[in-house]
Amino acid sequence: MNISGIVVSLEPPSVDAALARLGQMEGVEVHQVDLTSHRAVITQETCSTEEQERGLSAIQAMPGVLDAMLVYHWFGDANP
Amino acid sequence: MSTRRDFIKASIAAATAAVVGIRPGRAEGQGATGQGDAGGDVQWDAAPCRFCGTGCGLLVGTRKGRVVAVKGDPDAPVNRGLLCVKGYANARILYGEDRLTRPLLRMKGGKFDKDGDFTPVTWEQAFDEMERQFRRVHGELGPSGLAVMGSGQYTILEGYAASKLVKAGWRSNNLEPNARHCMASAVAAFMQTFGIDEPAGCYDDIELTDTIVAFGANMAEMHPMLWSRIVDRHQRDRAFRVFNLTTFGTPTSDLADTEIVFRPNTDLAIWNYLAREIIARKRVDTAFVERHCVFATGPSDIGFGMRRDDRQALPSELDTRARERKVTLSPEEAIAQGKTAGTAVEQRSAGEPDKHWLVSFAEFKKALEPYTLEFVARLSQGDPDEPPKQYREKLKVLADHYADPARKVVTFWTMGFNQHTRGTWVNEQAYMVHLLTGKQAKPGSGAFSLTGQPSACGTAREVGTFTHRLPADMVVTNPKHRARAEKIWKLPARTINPKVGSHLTQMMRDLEDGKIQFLWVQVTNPFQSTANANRWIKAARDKGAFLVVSDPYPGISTKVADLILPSAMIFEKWGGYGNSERRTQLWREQVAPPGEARSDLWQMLEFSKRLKVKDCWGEQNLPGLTADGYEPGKLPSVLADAATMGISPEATLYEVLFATSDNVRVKWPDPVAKGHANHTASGIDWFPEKALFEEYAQFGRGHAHDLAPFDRYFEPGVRGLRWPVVDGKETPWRFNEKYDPYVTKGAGIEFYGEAMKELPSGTLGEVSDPKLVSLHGKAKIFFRPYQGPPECPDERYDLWLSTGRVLEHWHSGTMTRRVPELYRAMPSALLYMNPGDAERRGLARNEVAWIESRRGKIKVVVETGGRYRMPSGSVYVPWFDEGVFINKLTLDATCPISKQIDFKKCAVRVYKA
Repeated sequence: MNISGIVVSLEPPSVDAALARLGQMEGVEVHQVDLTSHRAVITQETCSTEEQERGLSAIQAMPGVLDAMLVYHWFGDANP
Repeated sequence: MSTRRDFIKASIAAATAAVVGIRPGRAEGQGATGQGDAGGDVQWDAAPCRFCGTGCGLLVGTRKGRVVAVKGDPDAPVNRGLLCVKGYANARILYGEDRLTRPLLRMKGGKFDKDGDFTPVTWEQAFDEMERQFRRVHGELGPSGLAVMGSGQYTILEGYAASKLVKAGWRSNNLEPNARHCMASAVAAFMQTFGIDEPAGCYDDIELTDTIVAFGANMAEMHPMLWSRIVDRHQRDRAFRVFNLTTFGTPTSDLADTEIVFRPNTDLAIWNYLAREIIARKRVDTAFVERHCVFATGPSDIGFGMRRDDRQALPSELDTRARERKVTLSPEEAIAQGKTAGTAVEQRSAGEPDKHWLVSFAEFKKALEPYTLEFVARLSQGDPDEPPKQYREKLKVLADHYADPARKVVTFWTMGFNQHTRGTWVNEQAYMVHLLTGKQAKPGSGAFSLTGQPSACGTAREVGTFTHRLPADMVVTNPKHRARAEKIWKLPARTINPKVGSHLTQMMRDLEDGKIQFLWVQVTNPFQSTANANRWIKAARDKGAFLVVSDPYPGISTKVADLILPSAMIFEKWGGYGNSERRTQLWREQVAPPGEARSDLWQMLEFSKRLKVKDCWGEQNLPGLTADGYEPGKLPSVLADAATMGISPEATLYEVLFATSDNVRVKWPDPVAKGHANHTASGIDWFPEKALFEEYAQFGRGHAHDLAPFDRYFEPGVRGLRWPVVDGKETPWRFNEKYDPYVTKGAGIEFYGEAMKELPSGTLGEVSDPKLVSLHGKAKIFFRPYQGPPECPDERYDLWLSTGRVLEHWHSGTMTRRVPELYRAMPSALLYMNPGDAERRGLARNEVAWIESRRGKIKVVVETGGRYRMPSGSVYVPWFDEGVFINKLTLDATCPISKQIDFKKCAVRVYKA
């Protein structure tokens, strides 16, 4: 199991559209949205780190996404 | 199944939100038209990260003259689109509220006064006072009274300009980087072992190896993106193994299959055990060793780099200082060196600690004899609560992995080895084991020294901003090297000073003794970062010294300065860095510096206009100078030779060193800029960064340090290039014929570095045959014995103190502590200690304690949990926090060879405040 915590910076005019796109990505869950700073906290679950890297790149390339930064990377069975 | 998985995700989301300071829930914002509106017109450009030595690639987004976003560059081979928590702060560090934007001079009654208050002045006024002070000190003390402290965060161009200004212009060799305290031991060991600096391998080794040994390196926090590549390998390959050798449990231990907690300084003994074991198990790669290696050793009575006398010593320090002159052998040192316990050893070789000679394999093997598993396990076990049998078994498993010829091994290290009073030795011991097993300079195998700063390699080492160095591994003491530099720089013969100046710690001692009185600090915060800091702050304030500090933010060094110059930060200038795998990366200016802030390069160019050839190139007093062809204590006048070369005594150093006829032909603006500005080139029609880069590249081309042309680094698809770059191709592995064009055809492996490759021969104790033997193409396998550090815990100071960095903060925190997210994640430094040690002192978690060494004491909050697991007897306090000024306690002892301070070991006591 491979879960990352990602902070996504969104372009203000298209916050809702971008959130909808993120929500449709496999393994992605939107947890929090801060409209003051136009940032969302999401988690992404994948089977391998490779998939996770690909997913992060896809998020970074998504229209309406200014930046996606990996803040938390969790793997294995230990308690985060 | 709403379960543990959902719980984990919620926890990760909460932790992620906490790091960046997002409140829980869907918060109400100011709407789409608010200030945060970035719109769709963000421009992106590639640049390297500002922080550690990994050299991650970023994409920097700017809009309306402001950096608004940073993302990991998916095309960067180092980090492949990922960034650590510091990485995303690259843009935010530019916009702290207290950026320095005007020069500030201490003034009273309208003029400079050492006791005055900081007053905004113009650049003109700032340079006026600087010039006055420079002339005063130069007149009284000559070139040795002047000094510049730079850093491994200098861009390549800044470091090169500083080197040329100080060494060619001022004829002083007093230029030092803070990298002296970061990787000088690594450099010394590279030079002694291979005759050339910097690693053979590259980061691709991570994907190609099957064993990683982190030894004295908390990579999970200090090199997070390299660590993420290791994590990835570990996830996918069941046979992949990770070892962490450390003096306390760190986040790096969390992934490690085997964590080995050892007692401080016994890394020296562990390496010797490994070497002994490899020989005993007949696992030496004999063909490799016979073809490519020789055996060597050197003196062990070399002191600890402290002052030789008791001048300026506090009564509490006298016992530590005495060990600089005489060491009484402990029972363990006696066994390790085949001597009698209690023997007093005069430290007679402190004046020539780097001397070394060849020994036979039989002598080498004999020296390793005492380092049995039983002896080394007993000596080195670092956690008294661990069952000794378990510890012994772990050492054996480590030996199994190095000894197994079918296994590839990469050993990574950083400050645990380098900041060590035997730092050069312990670096050499890593090569000892890798060379014995033939696991060096091959894809997936190698001893790999990582650096801590973004351009410790690119600038401090390759440009050579050390007192003894010139570009491309050349040294000021070698007449041929000086002549080559003088030729490229078009200087009269004998302009460059042949005497090594003061290393960084010596500069501080010279300041204390009044021998250095003009000090210019750039891109570093030495009054916070140098051990035994109380002394140096007093020295800077009390004496006739004039201290100039160039910095973007206030910190401890600006507080003790006399003149503060506001500096441009990374994306506010053109620049270049070189990372740990020899990758050179250049970037364009993205935004204008704020207010009157200007790049360090601009500051040096401007100041060089204030000095004339006749001011610096006449005869100069230089106390202590002795060199062939020089009158003792004097640098000769080169003004007559300069005149025959067409250099007028009235010419400025700017004209002679920087705006040369070759350089001014490199025009600004330049198509490579693609519309980006250059505030360093404001008011001139030449391109200083490109001109200086091409001039600098002449030193390395054809000398195994080849750089590509400036413009090549900006081509689409290029994300830095690993030197030597020959015929347009980079070199992933050096010394290996398959990859490195400098290796002689048919040699296979060739350690072709040329420094220190002629040696006499002898026994373990001394030289017996002075005839020099040439070692062309070979590396040296050194025997180095176990020795204790100069200060160990005793009845009065009963704990080991180690200092270091944390994930969230960069060095002294002047940048990262201004990023709210990073500040919140780690607001202040804590005293990490073992719960039992705390309890025995009547202390609980979150209580305030005093921590005291022979040199000073501070108050700090106790942490018995958290991310570090301290064994009983050891405490850790990070140094980023100027409010918890731990360097008031640390000891300014150095490795006598590398002159690098040991920040990892001194003795302290802790008690209730």
